[in-house]
Amino acid sequence: MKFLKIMKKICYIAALLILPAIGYSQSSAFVSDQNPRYQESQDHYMKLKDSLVTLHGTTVQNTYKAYDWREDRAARRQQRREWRHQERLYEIMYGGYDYYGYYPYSSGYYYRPYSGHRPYWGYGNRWRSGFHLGAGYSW
Amino acid sequence: MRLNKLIMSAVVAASVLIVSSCARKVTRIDPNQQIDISGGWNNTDARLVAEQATSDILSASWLTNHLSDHAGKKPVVIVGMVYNKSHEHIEAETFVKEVERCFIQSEKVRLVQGGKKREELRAERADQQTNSSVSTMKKFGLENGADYMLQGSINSIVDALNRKKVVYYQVNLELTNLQTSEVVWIGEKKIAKYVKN
Repeated sequence: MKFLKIMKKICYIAALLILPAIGYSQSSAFVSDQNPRYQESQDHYMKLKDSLVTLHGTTVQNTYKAYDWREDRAARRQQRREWRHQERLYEIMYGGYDYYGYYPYSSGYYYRPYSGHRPYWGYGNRWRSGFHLGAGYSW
Repeated sequence: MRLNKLIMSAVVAASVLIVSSCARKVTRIDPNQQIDISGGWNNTDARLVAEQATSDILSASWLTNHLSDHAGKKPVVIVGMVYNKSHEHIEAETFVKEVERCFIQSEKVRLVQGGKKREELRAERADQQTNSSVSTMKKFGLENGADYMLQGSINSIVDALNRKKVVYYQVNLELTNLQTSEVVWIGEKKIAKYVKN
């Protein structure tokens, strides 16, 4: 009776040890000519697969913008319109002066009142800062 | 009254003419037709390079040498990088694909996938390890190793003055033995254009 119990235990332990080994050998059955280091590649791609497999059936848009003379000219014109629009907005907001404090369309002398705090005389136009002469105070 | 009618019809005719002249017109053309517009790289240049490369690569001695050295076993080729060192955007795939197609159609050369497409294949194979049935699952480590790699370079020289311009393109494709690093074939196509604006 005791002998049977011991045999049962031995069989149980053997089954525990052998069955996983059989399963492993079946899953990793080595095929002739197979690269012996295939497991390294497999492990590497097992980590990456999810991100790559989700792209199956999709079109990867790897496009570029081709040069078109007419389109380029239209884009330049559009940009010029936007700049002029912005200048007009500044003119309305700052009473004839652009964001940097210069009168956008003047090319001669001008007077910049600057909220009454800084009397300012100068020379310049929209493209260059020019010569400035001023006196006053600011906060 | 008659004058008014005449003016009206003239206005209508002029407006129709303006509208029709502004409307975009698209027509299908033969891809082999040569149409040069800007003088830049175009489909005709890609086609000329493809024709030259495909006619050269299979008639060159590297193929017969390989077949005699490997007891008639077909060479396996992988396509590597093509360096565009020209002044323009040129997509080399337009003519490299033609060379690949020629390899497969001739059945003299075997081709293996490379780059991102190979990454995708391996990812799918990895996915099969846990999702496919054992009988259909593909194994790692059984890919065909390439014997040769096809690489290339595109160069250009531009000479321009006032309204005249000469553009010279040189496209080179090279086939190198992966085992020995020996260059076994170099294909070349030179294209020169004279552009007058």
